[in-house]
Amino acid sequence: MSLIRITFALATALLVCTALIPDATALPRMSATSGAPCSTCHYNSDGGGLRSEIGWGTQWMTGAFDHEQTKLTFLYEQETNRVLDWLAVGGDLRIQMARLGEPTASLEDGQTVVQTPGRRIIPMQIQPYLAVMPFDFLTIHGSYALGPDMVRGDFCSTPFAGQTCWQAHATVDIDPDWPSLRVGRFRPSIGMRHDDHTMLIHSDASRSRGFLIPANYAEYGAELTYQPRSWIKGDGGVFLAQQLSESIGDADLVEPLSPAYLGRVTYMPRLDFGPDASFYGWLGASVYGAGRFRMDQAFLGLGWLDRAALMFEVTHLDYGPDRDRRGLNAAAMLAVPVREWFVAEGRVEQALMFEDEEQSRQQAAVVGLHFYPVPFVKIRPEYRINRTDRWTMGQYAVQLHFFY
Amino acid sequence: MSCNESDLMTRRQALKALAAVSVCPLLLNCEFVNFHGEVVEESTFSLSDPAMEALEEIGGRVCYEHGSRGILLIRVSEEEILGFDQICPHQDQPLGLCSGDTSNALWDQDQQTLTCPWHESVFAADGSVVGGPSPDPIETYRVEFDPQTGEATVFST
Repeated sequence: MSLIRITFALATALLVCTALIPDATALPRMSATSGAPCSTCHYNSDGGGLRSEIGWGTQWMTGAFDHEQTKLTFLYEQETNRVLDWLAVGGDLRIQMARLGEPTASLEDGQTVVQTPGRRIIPMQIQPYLAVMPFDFLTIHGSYALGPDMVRGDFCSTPFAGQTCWQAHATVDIDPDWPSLRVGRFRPSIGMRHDDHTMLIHSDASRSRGFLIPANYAEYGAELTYQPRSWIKGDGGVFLAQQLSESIGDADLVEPLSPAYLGRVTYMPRLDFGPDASFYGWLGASVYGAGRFRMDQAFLGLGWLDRAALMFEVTHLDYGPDRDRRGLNAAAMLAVPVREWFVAEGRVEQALMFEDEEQSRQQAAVVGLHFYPVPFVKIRPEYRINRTDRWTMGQYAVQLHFFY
Repeated sequence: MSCNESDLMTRRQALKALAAVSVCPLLLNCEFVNFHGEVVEESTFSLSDPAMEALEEIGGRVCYEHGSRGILLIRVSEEEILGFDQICPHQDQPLGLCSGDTSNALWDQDQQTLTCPWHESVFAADGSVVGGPSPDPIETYRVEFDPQTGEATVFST
């Protein structure tokens, strides 16, 4: 093993010894504008987590300043994230500056005094990944997201209900023409997988930070993925609804060890109208449920290769016939990669919850940039407006993301 | 694997890009907060309200809408109801307790402490931190309660 490989292996091991908040990453716009499914660039067939050699190699080349210009060539001598033929490593480290929490207001001498939540710099994510490939047909993939209270000895402090600190699954893919099988503890293939865990698309609008499918959501279970043609894919799985029960917060509705089911169908056409007019996209639907709860999703992604990605997603939350409770969430997203290392992105979202003739609503609008100054480093400034039934707040936030 | 030279930007272009990104902090001036709900100095409720009936028992808890604020009310004795902000200051997570919420904050009647279910920050009745990771005290609200009539008034400060 070369010195560089050992260095990278040690760097990854060091990540394990540092701290922070779990998250999970996936950039659907990358799939839409590159014309390739998520599994091309990630070991996880649903996207997110450890990058494959192709995904890693693409990022190795993506930066405003290349290796020569930065004089940091020694950092980029490694041309793969495989430290051994059968072992790949990676990780995500994110630091965010934002106003966290809710604004408050009080009356003082008849005057309304508004208090904006303080601006904080927080380590959002330190999450190392590992993939072991003992045979061609078998990949074992795992990750551990360290919690923010690690410095106090708590290595697993998950800030959102339903989150897990560790995930691990084995993927058996004997033949590309056959279904592949994933077994372990992982995120079921629900709808689209997003990079931003604060998105409202999976939220319960009646709750503050009520993310039903938070970042690093994972359940014990098994899932089959079958892609008989390049343009059609189906996923089906069964899981234990342990984390879903927690994130919903109602054990009567979803018992912690009750079975959860998943089904998803995705149509992925590619349309070529000339060298500068190639389009790729997905049109799909998924259903995920357990007990008396069910989440139906429909999603559409349209990518103009290397130019833009437009994505829509709709979620319907059904809390069963015994309750007059329904949720309806929607999101629209637009991403424009001006250059490979400079991507403008925006989205609007709304989450609605109807319960006993009352309605709760949350809305969000976000515009931002993904700027890659050098490979494996991203600066992500954004301006976001969040609206609840109580307040509307606009704020600037910025994220520094190191990944490998 | 090698870089395509035509895809690499010049230093000048890169500096322009950096300048564009650095403009974003100017948006700080666009930060704002608007409240839709009524901001109140005080509000009243009665235990005869079915939504508040949990407070009829000692240890009972409810989520209470105090104007634009969400408050966790706990009946700690025959004569006393305490009011805590619904958001834990540790990681700004809701303390739970409302219908459909995830997990309940724990009220220790003997110690008179409130423990956030997420990461076990422990707060005294006056909101001060007595244990756990929270760096800040939790906001409390004064509640004047008349056990004879079951009427109560919640004050913002």
